[in-house]
Amino acid sequence: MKKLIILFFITTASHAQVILSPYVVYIDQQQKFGSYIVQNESSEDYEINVSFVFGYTVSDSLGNITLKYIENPSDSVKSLVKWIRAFPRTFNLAPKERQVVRMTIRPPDSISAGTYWGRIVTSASPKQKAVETQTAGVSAQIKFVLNQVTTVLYRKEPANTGIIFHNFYTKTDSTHFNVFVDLERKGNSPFWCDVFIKVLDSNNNLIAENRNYGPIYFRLLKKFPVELSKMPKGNYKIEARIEFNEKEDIPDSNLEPIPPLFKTIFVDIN
Amino acid sequence: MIKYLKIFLVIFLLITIYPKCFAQQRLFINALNNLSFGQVYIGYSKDLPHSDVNAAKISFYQSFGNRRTLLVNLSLPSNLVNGSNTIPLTFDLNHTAYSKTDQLSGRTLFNPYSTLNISNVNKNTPYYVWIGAILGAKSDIPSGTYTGTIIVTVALY
Repeated sequence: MKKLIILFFITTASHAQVILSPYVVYIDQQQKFGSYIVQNESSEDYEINVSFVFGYTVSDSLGNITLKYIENPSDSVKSLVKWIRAFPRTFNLAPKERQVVRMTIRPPDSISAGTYWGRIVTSASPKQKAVETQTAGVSAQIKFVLNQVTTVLYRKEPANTGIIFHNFYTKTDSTHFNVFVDLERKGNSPFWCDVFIKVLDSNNNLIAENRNYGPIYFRLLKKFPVELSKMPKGNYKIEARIEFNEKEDIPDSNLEPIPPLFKTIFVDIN
Repeated sequence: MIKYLKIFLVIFLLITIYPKCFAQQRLFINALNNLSFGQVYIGYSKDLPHSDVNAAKISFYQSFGNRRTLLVNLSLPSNLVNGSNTIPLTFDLNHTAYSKTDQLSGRTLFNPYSTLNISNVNKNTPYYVWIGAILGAKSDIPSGTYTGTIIVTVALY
């Protein structure tokens, strides 16, 4: 059984092409540099380009979440893009090679306390000739470029965070019973959290549960859909628990833990 | 004893120097198949559905933890270009799909010009994206090589 499991992981990893690690690079006042590794696990040569952009997650009124990128962020947002440098920024990676990308940050002394961030865009394009299709006098070449977006954080103490639980409501569409959680972060740093949702019937039987992890940079409306077929007519209790969990992405974090937040609503389905 | 101390010292230095996080969080992206139109004749168009073996195929998985959200954005060329000449390339909702399994059935179509948002992505669970398109080789185009780039941007949070 053990052999089977090991074989599965080796097989899975051998398909991967360009791998980055870690996904979140944490830098603080004491150590103003960080690094991550780019590894080419494929059998092709890749050209790698590293750039930075400011961005954060936003949601629409339906709870659809996207990453909003801002090319030239104003000084009012906590962007570190202007101060960060990566070495090397462009390089080639032969098959099975890896490269450490080091980053240094030089923020002005005058910046206010809190957590600043940016997105690292690691762009990988194969050096191999793109797919070429010879036709009657015409050929088509389509090149694939893979961009991986990861995060770099810089923290100036005293950093603090918290959460405001604005709204907790449900909406039913033709196929789903949707639970919405509207959260806004407090303080000068993003709020990394787990959101747990439980749907219980009038006899306290668990009908559905859901859990989602991620940072709240500003404000986010999260949607938790439950298949309507699981919920016959009746009364339901919906419980939400918000649990601060920054350590999962930032093991070096020393932000003070925040007690979990709870909310409950009752809903009738007719 | 000194020999063991030296070995210990070497191992300690390797662990210290080597960035400590490599064994932790990783996102794996794998371009399994490129978009390949096969034979296209001038004056004809070719429709390559997502279900075709020649459609582009990408897989993703991550080794962080459970309940993550994967965001995928595609930057797609509207034309393949050769100097001032172009061949239109059309991507749409019916030509792009994703699934948790590498099978024809059970795929979900998505708009290639919107962010594909896959929530509750669990650790080491692969997801697949297929991209097909329609290539229209107009009758008045000259022969030559026509090029274009597809950019796939993936973020996990």
